[in-house]
Amino acid sequence: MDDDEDEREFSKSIVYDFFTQAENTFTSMDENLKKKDLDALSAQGHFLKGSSATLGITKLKDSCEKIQHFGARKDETGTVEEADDGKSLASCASTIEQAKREFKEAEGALKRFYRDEA
Amino acid sequence: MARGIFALGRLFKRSNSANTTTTFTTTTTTTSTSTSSTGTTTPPSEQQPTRNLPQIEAVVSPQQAGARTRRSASLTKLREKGRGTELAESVAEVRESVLLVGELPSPAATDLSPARSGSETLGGGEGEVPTRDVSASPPPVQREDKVVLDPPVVQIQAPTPDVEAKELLGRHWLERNDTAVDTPLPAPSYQPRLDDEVSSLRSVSPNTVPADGPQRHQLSISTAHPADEKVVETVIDAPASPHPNNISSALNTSTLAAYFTPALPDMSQLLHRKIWVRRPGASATMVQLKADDLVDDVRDMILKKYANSLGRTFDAPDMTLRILLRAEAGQPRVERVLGPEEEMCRTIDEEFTGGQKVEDALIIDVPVQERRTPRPSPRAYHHPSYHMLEDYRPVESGTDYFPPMPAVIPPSMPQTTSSHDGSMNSSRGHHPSIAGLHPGQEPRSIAVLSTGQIPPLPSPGSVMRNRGHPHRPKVIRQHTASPTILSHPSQINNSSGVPLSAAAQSSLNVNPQLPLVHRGSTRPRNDSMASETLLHHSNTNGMSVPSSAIPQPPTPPAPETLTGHQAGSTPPTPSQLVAPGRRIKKAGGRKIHPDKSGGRSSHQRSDSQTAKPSTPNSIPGLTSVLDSSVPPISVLIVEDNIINLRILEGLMKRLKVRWQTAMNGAIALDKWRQGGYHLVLMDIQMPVMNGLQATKEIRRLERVNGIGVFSADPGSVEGSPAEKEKEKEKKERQTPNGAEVPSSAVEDGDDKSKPSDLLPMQKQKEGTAQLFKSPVIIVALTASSLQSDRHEALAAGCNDFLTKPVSFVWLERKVKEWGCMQALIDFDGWRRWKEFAAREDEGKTEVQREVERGREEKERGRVAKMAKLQEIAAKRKEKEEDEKRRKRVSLLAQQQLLQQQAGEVGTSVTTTNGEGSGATAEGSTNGVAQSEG
Repeated sequence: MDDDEDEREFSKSIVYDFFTQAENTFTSMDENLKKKDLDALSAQGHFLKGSSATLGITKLKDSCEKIQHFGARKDETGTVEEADDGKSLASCASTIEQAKREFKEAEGALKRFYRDEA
Repeated sequence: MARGIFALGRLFKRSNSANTTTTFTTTTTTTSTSTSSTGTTTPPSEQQPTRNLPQIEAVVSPQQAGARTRRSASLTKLREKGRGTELAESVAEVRESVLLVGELPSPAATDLSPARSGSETLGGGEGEVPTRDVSASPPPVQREDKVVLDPPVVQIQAPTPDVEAKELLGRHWLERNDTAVDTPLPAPSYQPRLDDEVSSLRSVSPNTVPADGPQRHQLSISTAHPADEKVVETVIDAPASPHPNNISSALNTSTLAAYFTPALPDMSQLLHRKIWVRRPGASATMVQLKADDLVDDVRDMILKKYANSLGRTFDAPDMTLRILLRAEAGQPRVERVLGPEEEMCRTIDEEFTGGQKVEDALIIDVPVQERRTPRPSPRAYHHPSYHMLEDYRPVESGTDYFPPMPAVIPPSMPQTTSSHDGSMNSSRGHHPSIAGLHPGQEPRSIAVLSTGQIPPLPSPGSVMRNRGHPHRPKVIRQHTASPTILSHPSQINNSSGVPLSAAAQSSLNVNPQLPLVHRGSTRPRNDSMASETLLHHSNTNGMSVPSSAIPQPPTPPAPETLTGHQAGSTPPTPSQLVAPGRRIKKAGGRKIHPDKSGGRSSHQRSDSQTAKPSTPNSIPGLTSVLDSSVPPISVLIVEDNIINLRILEGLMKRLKVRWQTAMNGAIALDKWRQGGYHLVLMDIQMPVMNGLQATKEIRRLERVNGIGVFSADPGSVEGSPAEKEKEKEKKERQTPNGAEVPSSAVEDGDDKSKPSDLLPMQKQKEGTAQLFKSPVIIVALTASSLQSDRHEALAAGCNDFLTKPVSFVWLERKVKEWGCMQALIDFDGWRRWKEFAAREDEGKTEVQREVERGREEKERGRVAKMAKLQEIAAKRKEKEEDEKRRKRVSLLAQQQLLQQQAGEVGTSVTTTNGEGSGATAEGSTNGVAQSEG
């Protein structure tokens, strides 16, 4: 994808953009969690899912998908309706935490890749 | 020896044709060659007395006879045809020798008999030999010649020991007289000698006629090979009591005719004899050889004879000849390996006194070849078709792919070792490295150290063949676009024990090669990897692809929860190149030099853009392919996620396609109204207006404005399209849900077109109408793996979809596919567009491009901002609505509360909840929260 094999400007810029994007998203996710805004959470989960999937950060993507589903009041696969909003919120919260961990992991790896190797 | 005989033959010919007499110098025996060259010349005079031409009484001097016989050895042919008795054989031999003798004297026969006999001797080659006219040359001259030319003693005449010999001689002479017109009777100089002398004189007898007996004696003795004795003896002894009659009768047969035909070639044939040879277990055959051939020469002849089975794969030195010695009855025959230096005929004569019979055939051994050279596999080596026929045999020349390979022994041929391994191992022949081997053993190539010769190489294929897993499924790689392989072999590896999800997820995919399109797949993909391989193949054209890019077994897909939706009728999904987890380390370990400054993205971006012209094609093969095949279409990318957007932009850039972006459906609609897009990549889930809504809207507008198939009636050519549109518009108004719009069912009431629906093109100049000649192609981008989402997208009016993350290959394919279709639909427009684009591009200077890029950046920023604003606005609106709803709900709740206070508390709560959930999503949540609060 990069124009230059050695200088991955393009991918690097994207990845670093992703970091900020993800961090922002997590922040707003936390806010929405406080507000118990499941739908917002679902949308954000979807949003983050899209970018993480694009970057191939699959674990994060899966977590985001779960968040999306939980936010939509469903079970984690998105197939079964979940009646209890409290449960959904709890699941969202835990999944968001998990997603954050995964994001940190990914961020570390990516930063190592792009920066430390330089 | 062979040389000598050749010389003889040649001389005969010459003498015949040219009427010239040649003195010739042949060294008749190999063993004596050297000695003969040093030999003394013998005065010719000596021979005169011995000759009695008329009576054919010539008595051959025994020594010479010995020599001759050795030289000529028995003609197998004769032997065969003869009665098989020893007598006959010996006679034959004698006869042959006589013949030889007969030839020699040819020139000078009558007049110069004395001179002739003596003069035959010459040292070296025929070249030195002076040719003398039959009439002319006087003896003395010859003598001189001899003296000068040839120190070696070379005798030509072949004396016949006995009566029969004489007879033969006589016949022969007669023959010769017939054939050679000019030559008078040959006067061979035959010294009447006694048989007793023979034993002592088995000199190899060069042609020269010895001057005096004693001298010759010494000479010959000194030079003679001891082994000759036997031969001589046998030859001479055997015919001890032959009767002339017998002989004549023997010779009177057809053989006689054969041998005494006037034609000269036959004469030279006389010098040949044949021996029996056979391959072990096979039937014997005869090999023709010259009387003085060594075993080494015989091997050559055998190779000629076995041109197919042996000649193709073996060299003469590879071959061993074994001789089965005769033994007394009841005893097993002992076999012996013939050394290459042995004289064939002599050996045979030694061993087989009665002549070689069929059962005495020499056995041909060739090095054991355990394995057949496999055919080169057709897959691995693509020989041109004309090679196909030769696939079965290794190429001898070594000019081809394979170096010369050891033999291919037809399986029908029993291996030679089996017959005699036990007894022969130690003494076996001249290729010891092979000799000691057990049949199943390949000689080690290291054997070259001890033996000095490289053992036959096992063929490259044969070694490995048995090792692997014969039944391992072959990886089939197809270079076809259609994903036809249902189960990629790698997926079978699911059973490999690694927890799939762990493997797939344990790491982030940061494969540097395609970091952005990779995705550790979490569900089985049914597509082939063909696209990836294709991509990589094109990659390899120009640059070395890092190892990570080489297609390799993808990580087993994670266990799948959504598989059900995936299977079956799913339209092809872009396949993913999966990066196994372990590769991350590899990737990380690679030297990478990202921009150290780590500057802001926008800066880098422009950098990369400016850098692009200087390094035009980092992937030449790929880009060149794309250059030629992707039509220059213009694409609208609708995507809210900035990350995805940028990646799609990057892909578009790489595709050399013009593109524009939109951050949500509303913007997309606006952009689309401007016209000119061939392809829309539409994200489905977007804020403000999602992809499905946008798509529906676009389709509606298209229908309303008569874009595409509905307006494609021939009438559109004449008159301005805009007018047509208006007409149509009117029509539609008159007949809402008119028959011309059959698909209106999809969107029911939406068909009522509002004035705002009219596309700008109607208000602009006609030219713009070209931009809407065909309906735009909308390719949905769905992140969702749900089948229902796809159907929904298609139902909304999308033409196709791609799953996110979008792989470059698939994107390229779609762009190509749809772009080409668009180009076909609107060829004129497309062409114009292309020309326009080209002109535009040419006109641009570098500075302009720079400026454009800047503008692009700004535009992008603006668009993003706009999108944000829109989003915010939408949110605000939503919020307001929420507020209203909330108020309503809270009012309701309050009312209910009031009621509840009147009634029982418990029931009222439940009703509140129920009502809340019945409201819109936000409303319910908030409502519940409020009511609880």
